[in-house]
Amino acid sequence: MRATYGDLVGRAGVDIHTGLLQVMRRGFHDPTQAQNTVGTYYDLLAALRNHAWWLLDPAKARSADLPPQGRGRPDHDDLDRVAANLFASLGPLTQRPVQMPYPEPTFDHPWRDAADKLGAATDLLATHVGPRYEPRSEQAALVLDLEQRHGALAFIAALTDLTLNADSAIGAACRHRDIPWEQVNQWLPDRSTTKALTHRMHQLASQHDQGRGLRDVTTNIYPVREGDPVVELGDRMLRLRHAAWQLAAATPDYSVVTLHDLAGLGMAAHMHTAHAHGIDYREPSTSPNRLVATARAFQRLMVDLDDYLAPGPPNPAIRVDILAVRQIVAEIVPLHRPARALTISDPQTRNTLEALHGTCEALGQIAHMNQTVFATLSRSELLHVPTRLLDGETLSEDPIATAAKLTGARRILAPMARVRETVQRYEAVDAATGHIAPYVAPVARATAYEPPALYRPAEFEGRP
Amino acid sequence: MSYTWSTGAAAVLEHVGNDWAGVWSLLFAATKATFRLSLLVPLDLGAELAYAAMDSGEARDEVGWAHPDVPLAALAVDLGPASQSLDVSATRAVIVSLLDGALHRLTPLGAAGRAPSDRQLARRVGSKVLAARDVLMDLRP
Repeated sequence: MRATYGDLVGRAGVDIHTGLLQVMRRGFHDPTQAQNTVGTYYDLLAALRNHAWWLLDPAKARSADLPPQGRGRPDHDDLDRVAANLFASLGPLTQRPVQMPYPEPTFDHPWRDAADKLGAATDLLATHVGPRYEPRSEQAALVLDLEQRHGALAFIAALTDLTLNADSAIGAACRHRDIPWEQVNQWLPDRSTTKALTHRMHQLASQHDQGRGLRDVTTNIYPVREGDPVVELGDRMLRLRHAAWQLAAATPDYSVVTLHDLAGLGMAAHMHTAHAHGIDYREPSTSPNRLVATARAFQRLMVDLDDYLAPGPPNPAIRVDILAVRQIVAEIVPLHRPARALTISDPQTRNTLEALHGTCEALGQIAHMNQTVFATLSRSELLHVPTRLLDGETLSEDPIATAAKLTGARRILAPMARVRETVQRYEAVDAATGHIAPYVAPVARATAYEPPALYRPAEFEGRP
Repeated sequence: MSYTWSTGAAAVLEHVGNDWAGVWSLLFAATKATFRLSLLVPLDLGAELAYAAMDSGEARDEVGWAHPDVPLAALAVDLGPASQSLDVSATRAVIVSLLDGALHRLTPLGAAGRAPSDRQLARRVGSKVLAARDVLMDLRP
């Protein structure tokens, strides 16, 4: 299970609650602990602020626009303004106030973990975006969507609200250990404006919080866990999908062989899945199963792509994954063994089928992305076909190709009619996998965050 | 229709030279024919044929990458569409004969006295052609 953004901020929320309950119930046993906790509290606020700031302005490009205007007006309608005012009212952004103690390095408190997790969550999102907002993964569209980031801000605002309201509990616990009022007031200044602004920010951000938002975003790193073939299959497919995305968006590899290999993998995966379901694909039937039809569509695409003369060798990294996936699929569903009917629903079979269907789904998305790659390749004039393979119909439509054939050229630039045929094959694959959303399906479901049942907002009103 | 395939294949085997261009032409014809055949048979046979075609196509591409002028100049032969009433084992024999022709031409190309890069290429291409040939030979009828 890979950690998602939702997991990280959700666990940070749990840690914040745990830390608060710890302070409220046990208080401090000596002034040193009080000092450490106050330092940690400040660090947590800083982490929340940095996280919210990143969500508003990931590339730090608008820092100049965000300085507060109309300070202290919590009734503003602009989320950015409210957030900027909030940050300003929390104190200086870069310097730690001199009166704020630092926690000892060995001091252990849930709030420290929460700050770490909030930082990790920012880093997780940052892996998808380059320094100039350039997308770096297929999930980057989600991260770069301001609407989604504003939605994510709602939860952060709720956590900030909770953290800010903890000051009364900390202050009361400090007073129990006879820390003088002057000191407590210095450590925990009056933050009523900040609280009002946070409340307003939560209200405004909640309007954007729809659907699952950023919760299912995972790290943009694709390690492969070997050992369990089912797990490995999933990991490799994620890596392949990322590679296919990169081919389409960032780094095109001028080889039609990669597309050809991916189409072959599509055929293999769908056929093995059909076999795992016990579908009989040996007899040609008038209405074949969807999996069989998709496998055929992929096969036709592969045969069609083979006509192009490949300008260069394929990307070796993608190829390794393709070969490995083919191996794994053949390993978990051997075709020479008769398929069992799906009456047995033991967990192992279900996991295997789930992995196989995930593979098919990812391959549908990959084919969709490959269509873009193919279009790029054909525009770059790198696709050549042997002249002999062009039929009369294509030649009659294309005078350049006819002239080339008459002068005896052995290979020519692929004529538009020929390219169109391949695009039609891609569209056929698209139609066969049409039930799959064109956008990436979330890979790992984040665990839903529920605040601990012990927490009641009314309990924070100054009760230690 | 496998009759015309066998005539075509015999013509290719006769006309191509004993050089890389010849190997390329033979592999091209074999790959194309295997792919065409794979679309006509049921999916289980078709997938294995497609794998074999992928192997021989890879061998052909390797020749093309090592000698970029070869695909420009060599003869690209398509044996033409196969009919519906095809005899799989006879067609398979035609393709195997094409692959065998390529293997025969590879032996002198990879012999001692050739450039090391050519010897390595002949070995790589040869192993892929053999893999494709194995699949075709082991095919269930």
